[in-house]
Amino acid sequence: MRNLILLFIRNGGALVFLGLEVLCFFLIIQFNEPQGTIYFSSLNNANGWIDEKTADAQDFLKLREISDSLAAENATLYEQLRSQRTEDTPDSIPDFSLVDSGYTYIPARVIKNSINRANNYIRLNKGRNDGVEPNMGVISQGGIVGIVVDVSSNYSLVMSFLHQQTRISASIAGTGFFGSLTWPGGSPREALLLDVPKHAQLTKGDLIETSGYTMLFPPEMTIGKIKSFEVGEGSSSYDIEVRLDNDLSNLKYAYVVVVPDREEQKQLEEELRNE
Amino acid sequence: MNNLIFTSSLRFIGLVLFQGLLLQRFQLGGSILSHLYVIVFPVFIMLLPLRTPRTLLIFLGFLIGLAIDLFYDSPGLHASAGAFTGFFRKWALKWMAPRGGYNVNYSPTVRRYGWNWFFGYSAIMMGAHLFFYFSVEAFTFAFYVDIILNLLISFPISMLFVFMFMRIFNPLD
Repeated sequence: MRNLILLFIRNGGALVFLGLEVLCFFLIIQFNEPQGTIYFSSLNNANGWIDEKTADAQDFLKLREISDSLAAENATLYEQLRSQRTEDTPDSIPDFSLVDSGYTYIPARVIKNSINRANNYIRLNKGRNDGVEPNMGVISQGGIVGIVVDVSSNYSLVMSFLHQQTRISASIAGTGFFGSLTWPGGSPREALLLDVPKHAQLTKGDLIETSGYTMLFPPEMTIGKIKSFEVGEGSSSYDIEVRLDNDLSNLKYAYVVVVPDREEQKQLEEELRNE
Repeated sequence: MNNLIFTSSLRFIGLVLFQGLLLQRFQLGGSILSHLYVIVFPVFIMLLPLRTPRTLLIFLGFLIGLAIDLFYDSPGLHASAGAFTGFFRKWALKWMAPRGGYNVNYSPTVRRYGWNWFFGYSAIMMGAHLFFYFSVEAFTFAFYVDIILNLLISFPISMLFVFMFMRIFNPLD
């Protein structure tokens, strides 16, 4: 106690200053809109553990359980729907990934998300213990979300689609022409589809979907629509602007895609690479 | 002593009303003029007697800031800057210490230490105040261009008002 008093006498000014600044800080974020927004969005960028705890505190326990079970149910329904769809389209040419549509989904809660940086990452509350591995695709109801880059036992870090290094194989629905989908930065709802050959017939509003050529996403999943397209000077392919269906800014739940026979496919690719 | 408390209180009220009722309306649009914030109330903190205890100084800075915030509808913004200016005064005085040191019974005014001295002292105080205020207002250093622009434009005009204040009232203590 005596030490405390001594401390106060010696550093009273600094302590009073700090105390008042803390008080001001709360006043500012509580009652000033722009500053409050900055504060709360910065808070969102804090690490996964804290985020999950605060999210836990905010949700009512009961509601959490219900929504978690709904998400799990969603995942199974989603699987059924996708296998249904491939069975129902007899006139499409059955390729391997379509015939073998044993995709399964691991539902996960998004505990960290950002959309306004050059390279965005998402954290999910499922990890190695739940079967998540690096290089798995992540989707949500609206479309693609990203690719798992790192897993710990209970969490996984996802490279958001909104990342400069994103290259996702996507095709134009109904034509089979495909290219790689990239994100040029800026708006979280816009992407750029490159390398589609210029002899392809395009119209504004054409659907863009996953091609299924990678081991990341199930095929024929709608990603977005063509917003505009042009052929660059001296180029042999289109630059296509795509309006994404998925709004990553309010992502709550996501599903990690488990590609069937993943190990086998991976092994095959390894062998090919080694030759 | 009582006299000092009286003048300080009067100054407090006068500056709050001047800043809050008049200068607060003086917010202009336009690309450059929107960076102009005329802020004169830190004069109150500058002129408090030299023997004011540091904790009281900080608290009074906070208080006048809070009073200003009532008019600006920005709870905490001016208060945090006011507290900072009170906190900072020690160093401003140290840097500007005259050769013979300060007389603790004086207040740091023009009549006590002269225009030259007061210019340096008030410039340091106002610069620190405005820099802190604009940083808190932006709330992130990502807007450093705005912070610097605000500072460059608001500082000279605010200083002008400080000098006008000293010219008109020219208090001894």
